[in-house]
Amino acid sequence: MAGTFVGRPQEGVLMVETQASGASSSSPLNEKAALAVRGLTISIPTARGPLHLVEKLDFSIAPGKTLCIVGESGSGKSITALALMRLLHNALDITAGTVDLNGTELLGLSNKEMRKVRGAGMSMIFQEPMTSLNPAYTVGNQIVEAITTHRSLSAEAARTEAVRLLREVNIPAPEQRLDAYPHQLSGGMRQRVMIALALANNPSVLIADEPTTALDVTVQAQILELMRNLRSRYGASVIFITHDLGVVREIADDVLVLYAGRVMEYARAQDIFENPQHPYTLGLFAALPNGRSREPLTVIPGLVPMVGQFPKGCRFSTRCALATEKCRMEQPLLEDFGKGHRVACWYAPIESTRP
Amino acid sequence: MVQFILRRIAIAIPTLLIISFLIFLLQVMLPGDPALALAGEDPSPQAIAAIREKFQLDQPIPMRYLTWVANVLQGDFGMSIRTGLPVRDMLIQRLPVTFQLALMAMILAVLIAIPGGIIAALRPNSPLDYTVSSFTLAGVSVPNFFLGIMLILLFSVTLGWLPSGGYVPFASDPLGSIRSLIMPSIVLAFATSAVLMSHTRSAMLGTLNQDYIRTARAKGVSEPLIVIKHALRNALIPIITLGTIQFGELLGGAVLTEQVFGIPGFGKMLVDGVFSRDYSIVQAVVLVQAIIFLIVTVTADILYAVANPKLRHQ
Ligand SMILES: Nc1ncnc2c1ncn2[C@@H]1O[C@H](COP(=O)(O)OP(=O)(O)OP(=O)(O)O)[C@@H](O)[C@H]1O
Ligand code: SF4
Ligand SMILES: [Mg+2]
Repeated sequence: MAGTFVGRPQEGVLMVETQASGASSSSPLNEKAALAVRGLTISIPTARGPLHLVEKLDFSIAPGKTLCIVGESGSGKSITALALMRLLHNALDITAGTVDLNGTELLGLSNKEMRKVRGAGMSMIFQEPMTSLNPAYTVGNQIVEAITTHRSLSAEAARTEAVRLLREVNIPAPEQRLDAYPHQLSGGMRQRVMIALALANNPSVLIADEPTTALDVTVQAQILELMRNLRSRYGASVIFITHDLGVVREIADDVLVLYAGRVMEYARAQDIFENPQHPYTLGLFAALPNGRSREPLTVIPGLVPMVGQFPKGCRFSTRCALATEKCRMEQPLLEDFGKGHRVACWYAPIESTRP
Repeated sequence: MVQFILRRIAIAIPTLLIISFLIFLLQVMLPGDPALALAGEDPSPQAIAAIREKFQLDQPIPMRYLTWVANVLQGDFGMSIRTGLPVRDMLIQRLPVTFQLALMAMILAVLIAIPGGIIAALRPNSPLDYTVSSFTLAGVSVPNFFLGIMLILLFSVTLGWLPSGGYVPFASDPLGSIRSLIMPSIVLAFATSAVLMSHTRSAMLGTLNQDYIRTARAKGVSEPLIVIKHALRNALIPIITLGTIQFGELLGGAVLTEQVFGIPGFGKMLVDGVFSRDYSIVQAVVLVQAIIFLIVTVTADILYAVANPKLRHQ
């Protein structure tokens, strides 16, 4: 059901079992994961000690698979993505965790070593295509830079390679476009250029942070289609951050539901859609008419609590219809309810109480 | 682009005409009869009439303006009332001096301001940044003549390293010429670089926070390249405009600084002209200053367009 290209069996995508009382040490590590994140905690230092914006995040992605991260605005999706690239704003720190890319622990790398990973082993596409390209340089200059930063090619070979990349992302007349400045291109074209940049060195992990949100609907569909094609051609693992559950349904192998910096539910896409367990996930689906929605997820009553005002117990307890005293006092752990379907809720499985 | 430049120059021409007319009117409206002033002590009526005719003072004002413009276009700025020498010759003497001083001051200012501004922007609110801010504050608040006198006291009087004033022509002794203008260029560069530096700092802070910087980092581009190729290149667009205007101001002549160091430049020519009531000199200097300023603003606009791909391709 999860779209045309999720047909392959997915055994082993989410493998390590979480014990019932498991702490973050028992994370869903995959033996052959392209990317494995364990216990990732992102904090902002304050006078009263660090505030955790994202806490104890665990996930992994097998080669060539797509993980969708969903959650309302402010839940920590973008800072998670930036943390993986080690491109967080200075004000924020990664205070715990490991990020393992094909066996290399990224958080332990020197800045210089990390630069070799960025744009080569792992690359990223951003939410803002209009401002993500440098207005002072041609498209060709910026793609060539992406290539030659990691590979020693002659100027001519790099240019040929840049033309090939532009062709890959379906930009018409690529030779001419090479000499265009970003302002001469539409938002959709600029996002294609960003994708070309990201693919320039055949990364094993591609992070796309809401790559279509800023574009109009028809262009969104084209970019999405392009990403699906390229994903199967290039075989990269993809982290796809989105508000759009319709998109998730089309492209996800796994889904991670993030709320106020915590994982609420983490499972294969099929399990999430057929058997959602967490009240928050259910709330998101309620905002999904006929299984498709282009609207941001805003239908759950109430607001995401501000950082620093997170409730003591379950982060969702301020808005959850099922919340009890226990929910408000104690934080539920992310528990495996079989086949790697993880839920952080005291009352999961909640079939009987499902609305 | 060529069209843009031509249009920009075309717009400047009426401005120039208006300014030149105002400068001309200044002369007409001056109190006192210029013929009397020119005729010297105890003139005979015939002498006055002769001067009236020679300088066409008996003609109607529009005619006199046209004659004046025609003369100026041919490089004839009239005679100095005091010395009787052609004003053009004075201009030809003075302009290169001021140009050399302006150029030296500007180069110095850019060399201080751009690196300083970048460093401050890279570490905002660090001790280095505060040092740069204090420099900026000092630069805009310390008066030029004061700084000039202090430098003379230190480098000429106490240490004896540099001449305390005067100018050595570049053609006769290039090194000596540069030496003679070192202190005045430092004085002028101090204030100029202060303004330029604080603008560089804020422009760099702005560009370093742009999304395209994050993109460059995500590509694995090294920090020096990010700062210079990606951030500075964009920050320079407004800085080029500011720097060009500043250069124009320096070219207009630094009245106080030239006075303090006894440099026979454009600013000193103006001051001397004013003090000796030599109106043809004052008029010529003001006119040339206006022309320089117009050329500089047009150049600034053109450079802005050249540096900015968005404008270049319209
Ligand atoms: N530089 C920063 N300084 C302080 N707080 C920050 C900073 N960047 C992000 N945050 C906070 O971190 C939280 C998560 O932000 P993030 O941008 O990851 O949200 P998001 O899930 O991507 O939301 P959206 O869907 O709107 O993009 C927010 O509460 C935000 O205010
Ligand atoms: S733990 Fe309680 S508050 Fe949290 S989601 Fe489950 S039922 Fe709701
Ligand atoms: Mg975001």
